[in-house]
Amino acid sequence: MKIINLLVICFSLLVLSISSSAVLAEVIEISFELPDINTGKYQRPFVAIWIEEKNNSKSNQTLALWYDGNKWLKDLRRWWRKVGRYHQQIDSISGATKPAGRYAIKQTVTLEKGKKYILYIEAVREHGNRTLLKAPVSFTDIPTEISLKAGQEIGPITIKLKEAP
Amino acid sequence: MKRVHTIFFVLCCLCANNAQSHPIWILPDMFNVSTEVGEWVTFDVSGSHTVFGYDKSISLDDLKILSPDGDKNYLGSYFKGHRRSVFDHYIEQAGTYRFSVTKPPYWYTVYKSGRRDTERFMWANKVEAQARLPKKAREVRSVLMDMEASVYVTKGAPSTTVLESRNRGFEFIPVTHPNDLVVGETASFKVTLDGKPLKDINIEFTPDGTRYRDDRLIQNLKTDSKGLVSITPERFGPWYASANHTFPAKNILADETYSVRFITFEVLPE
Repeated sequence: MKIINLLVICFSLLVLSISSSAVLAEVIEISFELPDINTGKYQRPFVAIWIEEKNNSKSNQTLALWYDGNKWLKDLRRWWRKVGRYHQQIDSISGATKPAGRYAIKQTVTLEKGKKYILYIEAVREHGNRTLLKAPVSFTDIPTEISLKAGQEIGPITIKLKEAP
Repeated sequence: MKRVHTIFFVLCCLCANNAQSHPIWILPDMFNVSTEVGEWVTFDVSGSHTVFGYDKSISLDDLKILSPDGDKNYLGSYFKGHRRSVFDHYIEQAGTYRFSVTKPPYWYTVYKSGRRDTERFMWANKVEAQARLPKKAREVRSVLMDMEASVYVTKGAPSTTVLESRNRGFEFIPVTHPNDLVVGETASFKVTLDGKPLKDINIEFTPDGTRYRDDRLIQNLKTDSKGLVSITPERFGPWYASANHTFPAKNILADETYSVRFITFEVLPE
């Protein structure tokens, strides 16, 4: 009887642990602007968008990376320090740098229920400035919409989250 | 690949109507010398996109050193690494020295061709381009790139001989003595072409250390009708200033000259 009780407890603990680390797929849509900067030395900015698990940045997913040559990738300071220098497999999410304009990125991300995440957007321009914006993203009250104020190198940002179909 | 990048880079710049390769800078370890006899001063030189970060070394064979008496000084041996060049100079005379690094002049030609008016580019001066241009090339324009970076170092009291206008070509000259600039005080500079003041020239001022801050803190200013521009720096330390201008060329190798002048100066605390 005791053994059965113990088994029941173990089983329920197992179920609990599974349900608390359930992996969920969410659709994240990030729309933002690369501002039109009027300078003779204008170079298109490098841009990185990624999600880090709070207090565990080794768990991360890059959603977009726009760059032109590896030499200056390190200038995306946080992205390089947390992500880039450990994961060189970036072909599937990377692309060329883009001119000023409005952009929207839509990606499906897989996240664990109950964990906290932070979305980072970093933009850096040769002869220009660096902007790092971040937003905590909660996956408990979706669908949700978050707005971020513009920085020098990246315009106002809207982040939309909904459950993946 | 590197060449493709360079061409792409120049083309991007052309689109912005402002051809510009890496800015060049020269930075001494001291701007003011207080010894009685003389002092060795060491200088770093590099072409880079950060102020004052190292990226490309530059030949110092054409380095011009002018001592306070207005005479040319000569450079001995120097070090040219991959990312910077280094030289030392003995500052012996009382007064102000000028050190100017120039990039060897180079030319490029742009033109339009084909049904879609594609803008094309080649590293060639006007004469070389004539032999290589397609028959139906249009809007052909050959440009001479002319770059110079200067810095002023003073032993004892400042003097002004080396600040005098050469009355030739595009010049960016300190009006307030460059070794007498202080936080909160106005510093003026002058821009001239063949000695005549130029108005509405864009001048950029950036304080040292862009690598370790997010905001580059560039101040963009314009010269007034007397060719003057003034800034009241709020940070002390080395600063980097640049002025550029495009004007008709004076020889058969180009249609236009694109001149860029850089000045490094030190702002002292109060």
